[in-house]
Amino acid sequence: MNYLEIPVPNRAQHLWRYTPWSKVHPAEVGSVPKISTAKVIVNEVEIKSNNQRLASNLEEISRVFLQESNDSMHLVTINEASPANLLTISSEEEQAICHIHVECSTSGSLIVKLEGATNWLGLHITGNVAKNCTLSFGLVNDLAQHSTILRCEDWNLLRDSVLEYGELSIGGRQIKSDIRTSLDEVNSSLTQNIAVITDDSRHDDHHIEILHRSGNTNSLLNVSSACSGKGHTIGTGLLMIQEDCDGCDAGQVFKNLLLSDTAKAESIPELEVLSDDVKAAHGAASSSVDSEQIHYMMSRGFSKEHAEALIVEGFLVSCFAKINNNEVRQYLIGALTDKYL
Amino acid sequence: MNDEANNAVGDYQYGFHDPENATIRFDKGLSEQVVRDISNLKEEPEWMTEIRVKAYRHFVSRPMPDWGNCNMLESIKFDDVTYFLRSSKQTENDWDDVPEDIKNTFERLGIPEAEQKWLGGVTAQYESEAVYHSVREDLEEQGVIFLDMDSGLKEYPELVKQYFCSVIPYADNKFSALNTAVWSGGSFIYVPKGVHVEMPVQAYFRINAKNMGQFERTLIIADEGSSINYVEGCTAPTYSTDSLHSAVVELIAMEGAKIRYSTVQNWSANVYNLVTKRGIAYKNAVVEWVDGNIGSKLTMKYPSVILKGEGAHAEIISVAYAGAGQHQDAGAKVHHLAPNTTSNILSKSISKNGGRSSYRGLLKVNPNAHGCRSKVVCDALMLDADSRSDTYPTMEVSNSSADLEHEASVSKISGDQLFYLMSRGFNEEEAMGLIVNGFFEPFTRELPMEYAVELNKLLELEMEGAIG
Repeated sequence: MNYLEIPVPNRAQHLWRYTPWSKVHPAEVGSVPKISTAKVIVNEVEIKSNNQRLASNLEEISRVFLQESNDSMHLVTINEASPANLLTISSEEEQAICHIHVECSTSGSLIVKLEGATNWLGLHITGNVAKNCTLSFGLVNDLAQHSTILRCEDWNLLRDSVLEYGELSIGGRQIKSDIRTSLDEVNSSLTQNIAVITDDSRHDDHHIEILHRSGNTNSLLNVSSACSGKGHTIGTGLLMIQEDCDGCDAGQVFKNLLLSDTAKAESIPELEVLSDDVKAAHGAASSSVDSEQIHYMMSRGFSKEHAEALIVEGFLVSCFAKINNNEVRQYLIGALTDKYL
Repeated sequence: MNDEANNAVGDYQYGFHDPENATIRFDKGLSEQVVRDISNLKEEPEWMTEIRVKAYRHFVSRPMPDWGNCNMLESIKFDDVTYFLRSSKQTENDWDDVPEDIKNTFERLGIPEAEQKWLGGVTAQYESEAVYHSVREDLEEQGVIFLDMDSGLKEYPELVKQYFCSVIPYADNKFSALNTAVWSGGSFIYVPKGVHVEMPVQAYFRINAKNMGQFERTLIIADEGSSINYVEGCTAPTYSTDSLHSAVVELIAMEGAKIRYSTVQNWSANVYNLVTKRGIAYKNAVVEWVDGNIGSKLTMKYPSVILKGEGAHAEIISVAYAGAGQHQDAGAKVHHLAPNTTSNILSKSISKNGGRSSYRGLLKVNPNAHGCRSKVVCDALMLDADSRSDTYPTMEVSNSSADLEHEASVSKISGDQLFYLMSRGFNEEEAMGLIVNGFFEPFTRELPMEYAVELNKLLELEMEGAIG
């Protein structure tokens, strides 16, 4: 289906309830502008797109739009020759777009950093993790504070594979991220840890779908958000366990720290379970910083601001603590500490 | 009754039905004229007719919800529904004066017995209108008004006008518009300042005619410092054609008042149960919904509370049981508008034989609602691989001092628990029944004793044949 054939989603739709499509479209919603490709650097070497973008079989509006606006693709291969990779996506253009496809055929890591001062970035990441492989993936969104970001991700996990996913979202002003992972084959496993900081008037909307298509698959989603100023955090999770998927173990947790009276947080962790011999759970919590913790820190000589900053840091850092890959974990924690605190 | 219906009745405890003995029956289908005719027939004031007509126009213009079980919703044939049927010419005050066939039905449902033993007053609704009503004398002396809604409108028009549609406007959703357009019957209760109604008051609703719509409207006002416990039960005979139940319930708890509204819904498996229930709690008031959904083909019901005054509290406890062909789409909503308001939501559901249960909830904290606390717990049990369980919770928080928690889990019955009970002599079916009863226990202990007994019996019946 073409973009122009897809009706503009209305806010009654769960996915677009808090961030209307018009807010993340780079121009008029009835147009499909041709947008230049962002600059992609892998391990300090710029790579070019190969114009062989994989066709998306989804008819989801943002994916179709990204494809039609720019049909080029960058292929990143995680193999024995290159197990650890640092990839930077940047642009100083008015608008930029990028499609990264990851083929992981060995156990390795990939860190993606978004930077630059573009007004609008469209990013589509697709990836396959092959049998018996473990991919540690880290993403740091550090774009300029005025940027708008439309990001889609689609991951497929094969038999006995592991995707260890970490994300730090601190850049941009208006962010819409739609991350979908399909656990296609038995014994595949996903751990997803996302830390979000919304300050000033930052609006960060994460939609995370996890689809269990085979039995004995595991997933754990943890989203932690610190909201201050007029920041607005949205986290919607959809955890689906299909029929005949016994032995699955799935969980999702959304935690929000509200640090100002004008900050807002919405959490919608959804479950759809069609198999009975499974474990599926979700939780959500919103709260302010515990006054007893502040008191404890202040009694040890910290100012109130410093005490609160340390508690927030601990809250967000703990989100990454379960990432096994040292390189990815340290990169995410370092970016958090450098940029925010 | 034809064979098909007979077969279906066999599975349903309240699946008997009496021959229809309608005094007035409207043609099927809905039009503005039907709405005006219902209003004229009831000799309602002009303002009520106008609200009905506006609501009808809104109902017609508003599209079906595009969420929930859209396939089931689209299969409702509004033109095949009878929107008004009067079984008895007038509301009776003495049980002996109620027509014999209607009395038979209610006696089988156990209402007179219930009234004698437990209940402060009782309204029984048969098809569209209340047929029997009585309030204990001591309550009347205290100034408690407990009438069917039609009588309430006739006798206390100003009070009804003040509060009708004040909690749930007709334009709230498509089905509240439908109810406002064609409502008939329901309960009207006013509890004066400082009066505590110690015994629960009860209403019973029953659909006896096929393709019948029942649209009762209930309005309960608890004035300052008062309290009331209202219990509602619903059943319908099993017919091979579908029936529609679309009620609206509005609760108003003034400062310091407490309202508990308990429902056990056991509509037969051909009833669409699309209900809007909402309460407003003013300063230090408490609104409690205790909501059991056992029957119906499709239930969409999300009891909600607007916490409008400081220190108000909401408590919502619900259970849902979804068997073959059923979708129980239930949940809860709480809006924290004022500071230091608190709420607790506990939802439990069981899916069996391909049934689907969904929890759909909303917890919203406004910017001015400082110091709010809320806890939501959803537990789901799935008894076989054909069933389905969904959870769709929403938390919207705009105040940093709010303290909210949500947790949910979906699982099957633990093999360890089954093994433990079976090692003590229970067969597998009995063991599962005990576990299910225990799972629902936080709900049943909140019900009046006879309802708790009835609910446990219903669950036992539903659990028959759960193995294999």
